[in-house]
Amino acid sequence: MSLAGLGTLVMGILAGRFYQLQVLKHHELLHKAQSNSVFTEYKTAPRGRIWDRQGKLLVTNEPEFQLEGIPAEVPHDRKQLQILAQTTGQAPHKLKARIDKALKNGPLEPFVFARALTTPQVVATTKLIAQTKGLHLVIRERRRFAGGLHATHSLGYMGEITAEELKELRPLGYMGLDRIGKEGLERTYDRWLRGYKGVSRISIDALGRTAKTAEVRPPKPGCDLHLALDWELQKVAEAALQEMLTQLKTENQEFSGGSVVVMEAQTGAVRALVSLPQYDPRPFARGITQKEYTHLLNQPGLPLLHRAVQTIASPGSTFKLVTSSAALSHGLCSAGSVFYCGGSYAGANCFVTSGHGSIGFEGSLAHSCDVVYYMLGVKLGVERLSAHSKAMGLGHSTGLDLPGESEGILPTAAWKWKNVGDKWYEGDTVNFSIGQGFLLVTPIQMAVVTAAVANGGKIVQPHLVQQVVSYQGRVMARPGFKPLRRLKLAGNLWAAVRQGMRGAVLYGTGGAANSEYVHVAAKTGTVENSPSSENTHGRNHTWFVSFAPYEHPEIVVVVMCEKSGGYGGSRCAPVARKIYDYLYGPTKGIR
Amino acid sequence: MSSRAVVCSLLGLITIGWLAVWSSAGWAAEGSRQLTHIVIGLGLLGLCSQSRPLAIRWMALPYYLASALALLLVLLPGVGQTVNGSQRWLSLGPLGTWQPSEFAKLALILILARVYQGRSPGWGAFLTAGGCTAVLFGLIAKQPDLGTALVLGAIFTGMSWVAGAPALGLFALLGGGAALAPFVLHDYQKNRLLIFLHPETDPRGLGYHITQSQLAIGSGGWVGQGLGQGALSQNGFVPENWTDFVFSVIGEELGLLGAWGLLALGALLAIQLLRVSWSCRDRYESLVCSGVCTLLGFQGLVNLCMTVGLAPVVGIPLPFCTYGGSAMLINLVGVGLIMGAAHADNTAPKLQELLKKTDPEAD
Repeated sequence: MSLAGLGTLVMGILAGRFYQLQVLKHHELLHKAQSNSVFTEYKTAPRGRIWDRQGKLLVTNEPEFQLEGIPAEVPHDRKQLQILAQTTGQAPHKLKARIDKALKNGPLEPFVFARALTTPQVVATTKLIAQTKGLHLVIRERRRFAGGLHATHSLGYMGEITAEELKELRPLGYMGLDRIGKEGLERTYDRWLRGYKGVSRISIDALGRTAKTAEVRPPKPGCDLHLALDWELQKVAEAALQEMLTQLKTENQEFSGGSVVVMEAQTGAVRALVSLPQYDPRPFARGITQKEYTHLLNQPGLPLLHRAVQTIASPGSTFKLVTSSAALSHGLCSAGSVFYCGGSYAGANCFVTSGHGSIGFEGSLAHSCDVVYYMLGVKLGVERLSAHSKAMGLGHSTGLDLPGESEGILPTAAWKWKNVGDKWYEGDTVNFSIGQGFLLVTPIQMAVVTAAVANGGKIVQPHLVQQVVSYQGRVMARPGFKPLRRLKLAGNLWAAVRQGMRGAVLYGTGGAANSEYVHVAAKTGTVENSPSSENTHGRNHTWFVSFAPYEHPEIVVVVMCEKSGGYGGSRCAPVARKIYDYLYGPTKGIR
Repeated sequence: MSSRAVVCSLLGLITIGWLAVWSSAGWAAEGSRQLTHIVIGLGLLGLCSQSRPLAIRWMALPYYLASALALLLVLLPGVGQTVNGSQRWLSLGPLGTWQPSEFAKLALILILARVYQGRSPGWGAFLTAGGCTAVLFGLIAKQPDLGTALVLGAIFTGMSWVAGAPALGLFALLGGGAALAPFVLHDYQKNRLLIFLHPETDPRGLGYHITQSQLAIGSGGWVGQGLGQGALSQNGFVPENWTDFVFSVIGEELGLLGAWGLLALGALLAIQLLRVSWSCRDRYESLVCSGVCTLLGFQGLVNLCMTVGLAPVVGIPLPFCTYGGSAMLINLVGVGLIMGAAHADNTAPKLQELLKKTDPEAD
């Protein structure tokens, strides 16, 4: 029978097809079947916290509630919208516009109806969720500044990962929609802080309902950062500088910014790092709006700039620490040398135009005599001076654990030829030797230079973080624990420079920093500016670099005020003194 | 035919089918109801097997007319029940809802056997048979129910072939039907028919059933995931997999052994039933038998081809497995008729004995 034959043939084909599907293609199809019913969910680990050196909690996490849902599932008649807008504290028409847009673009994509809900809003929303289909609350973590809003530049903030960052970081396990550190320590130590994501396999049914959840790996919390920062000192330093800036503002009718670095002279541990004006990082934590960000960018005084590490300016007379030690190291003078200052040299004037007359090496630093350094600079020549500056840490980043550190500019003849297009004149050397002209440095670089003088030639690596500690209490890293290098220079030469700095406090330009509790040694700096578009009055930048105690240096304080006018001794020295008074005074801030 | 083989293979098929329905749809609704259908169906089978089809030949015409009437009723608005865009069901109050199109299949078999029972059917019989088929075909295609309509076409073709109707007419009809199909069918129907060639082009829409069904069957492997353990079958990835795609459950949960076992049982049953149709001495009964064989064979093979992606997806159930009362009853009654025919055949005096009796010299 032909029909039966046909049936037999089809049956044979079917038997073969079953074999093909169930045996030959079994693995492929099983894999496909599983991937369509099982997906992997990644759970962000709790981010590491940040502590100060005394164990005070500075940055931690707090839950943030966000209302999400599928736009197409949520009923969107007028009344419902009104209720939704009211509970989440939004303008109804704005919410409606957003929902309409989402409905058009992707009605089935998850949509954020409201973010950063307050506690009463969360309570109201839970009620709403019980009545409305398709809405759910998502709990995320955001950063909480437990210690108050200080050192915000250094602590930094977080934000959503951008496409470019993702491209670079995807191999390290970063994913889209991740929140990563964007600035400050949050950024530098992001890989430590973020921990490892937890992985769960979720089986879903055809309707998208969760059928089974299996945790493959729990999230591993991020490491904590234990900072060298002293929170109380940070507050004192901020207050001291703020007081000075407020005074300057009333005097100058111009907005100026400033920075303070307080660093351990022997180790480079940064005890306080101030940059004023500051900004409020909390909008970044919850997701800053474009409007807020533009406002921040356009504020006078550039609050987003971390002045202590990003501002570059001429160091002025504080550079004499470098020139003097260079001259000493090359044997061009000694601690006992006596110079004559006639008020001018090679067409350049001393700031005391009548001249200092006969002046010793110590006096030249204490009184900040320019002519002495003009002479020493010319004797040294630009290349030797530049090389010594480089050895002391100028012209390249200090290795501080903050992003976006400026390298500054350390001029040489070759540099000038390349960048300015002119050859190097002796006048340039004259300017260079007193820290004016092309040379540009950051306050943190000056702190490293001062520390080198104070500790006898050790170039430290400044660091905010002392220890990275895992959630199990293991020390994972100690950034900057070892000094970078040691300068080959006889100890007595450094002592000569220190002596000059002590003289500046006792009878020279830095008298305002003469604390009654501790012997401070310092060097002031005043940078003369010609009027420019930014600095319309051509006001001076002022510097103050110092260390204490003189006998056995522990602490380096660098203060810098932009466009402050006046002198380093009058603008910055009082700020430094307040810091020393706090550290060594009755408060015994030093521990 | 051995009735023991028929009963064993039949019970085997029914058991596998019921397990699949129970595993995918659960006991509460479909599982228990299907069991009721099976019990009633087996009772009817027993009844039918006690009388020969020839004895109830008189019922063919009234039954046919009643079927046509029921199909007409289904199409009336307010009487027929619409599910998934097709008007297929007739509600009989406490007796449940029934699918007249399933009953029409048997009606067609019986009426065609009656039409073709003459020794050599000529053009007249062929045209009459065609007319009888066309009425039911039209009513069912109107619902629309392409699958059942195709089954009717298959029954007509098969029975005409077996009965020896003019081959020219048959070929002309088949060729004409195939040529007309592209013009008669709606676009969505054409898409549905052709998507099986490229299910991956529309994995979320028309190709969904095909893709998911193949994934489910393929993930079964040699021995399957175990009853009630199929990830796709249990979580609704093959929608309504207790109906036409019930084989995907069998394939995933019972594996290749289950699938081949099902085929083997089907083959055993088919051989037994075909042997009856070949050996029947009464032409009417033989035709009824071949009609039922065509009905079961066509449905079974096309359904399996459709679930493994070898044939277009049309609504054709897997006999004895797919959930559904009407189909289960009709299929079992069909087998019952064949068993009745076989019984009559077996108990009738054999030719040799007749010859012996009529030949006085034999003794």
